[in-house]
Amino acid sequence: MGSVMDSPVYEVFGQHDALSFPTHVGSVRAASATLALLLARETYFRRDAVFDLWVVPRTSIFSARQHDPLMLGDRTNKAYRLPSGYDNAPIWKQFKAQAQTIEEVALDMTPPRRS
Amino acid sequence: MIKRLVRSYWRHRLDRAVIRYQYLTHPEVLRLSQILDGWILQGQYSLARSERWRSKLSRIGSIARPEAVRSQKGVNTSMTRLNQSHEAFIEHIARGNKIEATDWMPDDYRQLLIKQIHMHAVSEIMGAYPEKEWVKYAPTIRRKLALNAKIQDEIGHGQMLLRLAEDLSAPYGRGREALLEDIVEGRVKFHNVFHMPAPTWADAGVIGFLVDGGAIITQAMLLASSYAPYARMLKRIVAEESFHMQCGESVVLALASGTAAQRDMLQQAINRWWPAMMFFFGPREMGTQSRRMLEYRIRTMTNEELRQKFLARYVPRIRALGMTLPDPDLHRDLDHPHYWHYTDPDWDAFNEMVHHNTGPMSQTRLALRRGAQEGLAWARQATLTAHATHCDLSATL
Repeated sequence: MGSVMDSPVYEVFGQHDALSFPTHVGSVRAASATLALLLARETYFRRDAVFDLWVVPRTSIFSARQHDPLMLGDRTNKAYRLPSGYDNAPIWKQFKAQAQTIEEVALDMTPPRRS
Repeated sequence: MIKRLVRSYWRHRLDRAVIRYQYLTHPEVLRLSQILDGWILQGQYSLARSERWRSKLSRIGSIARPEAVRSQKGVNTSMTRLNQSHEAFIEHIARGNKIEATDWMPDDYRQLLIKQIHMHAVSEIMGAYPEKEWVKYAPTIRRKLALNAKIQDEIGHGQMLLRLAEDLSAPYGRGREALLEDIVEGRVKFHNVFHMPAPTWADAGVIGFLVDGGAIITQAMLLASSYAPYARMLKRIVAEESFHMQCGESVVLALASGTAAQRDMLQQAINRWWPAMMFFFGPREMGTQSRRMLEYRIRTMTNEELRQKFLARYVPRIRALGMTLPDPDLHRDLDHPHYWHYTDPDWDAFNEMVHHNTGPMSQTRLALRRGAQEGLAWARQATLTAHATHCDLSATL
């Protein structure tokens, strides 16, 4: 026992469709990247079709939490940086105009059907 | 019964594999299916066998004809190696497929993408300059923080978009240094609005309100782009622009609710920026390159469609504020209430300005950009040298 070394760990990322971002789902142990892909497919995506699958050697990941956790903190009030930090709707209403949101613009800009 | 289940399970898996390796032909798929069934039925399925199976698939796949599963619908496949014609590419995109950086693409598709994304990136960066002038004069600490945050976002967007332009330009041997050098050498255009002066605080507000508003409309349209890395990046960018939109409106609403002097300042700023906003969306009749971008679904709407969306959104709001627009011909069409008539901006003058950087502020802002580009070259070199030295030392230890 113990004469065979453990195979390296690969972190697994799955991308649901072409326009979504690859998301971390877990990790696998495998002797090569090809085998890691295969195992990742078997382990994490047995049922769902997936657009793309990435495996990354864990040793290639440089984590901020381990390197410098202080850089992650958000201890100051950043309301000025967020859309929710502004309350324009009542003022638009005073001017008898409608407030707008970016979600509404995005919806408005979905491509027209062309024949 | 169990055998049948196992068999159908693997058939199903193979179907998926065929979609992935779409260049397999039908007889080959059947043959592989038999081989695979044989493996499964002979005994336990093992990793080694599945490896062999997969390498076989890709080996055969690389020499097979492309017609195999052309009719597959609703599946996002990449272009086959042997199917790289212009017509096939257009058809591929028309089916709703998206193109990735590593996929095959026609040269002109690549060049149009570079042109578009490079100009977009550069406009984000150059857009920070007129706004930064106002950080130190912004009326309250909160406005300073907000304006600063917005400028950080613009530079951040420039970084994200340059990464995309770099990946696309790699086959031409051009990286970030070359793409940034193009700005100071005048080889890439940026939006006309950033060639103009921003003399009052109201200009800072109107940039956030109208220029960002126009940019948001264009960027929201590009969320449907056929180039997936661009569409994905724009999701992030548009999410951040949501704050820019509220921030710009907040400044404009504060001025509109203010004193006569503040309202007058706002009116003057609107007058200054309006013709530039009409130029912003480009000529009524699009050029060959823009039409090509429509055909390739890099973009999905015409210049005029974008401008009309802008007018529909902003004219009523500006008028509700009690402000006027410096265009006597601006009105809705009687028969088509969704169509706005407007006066053409001075196309020649604006074109001259963006093509030759001859706007009132073009050279001043380019000088600032040149200062940053050349003045910080030593820092970029130093980090590279330090990294190389570190690697050498690690290797010898």
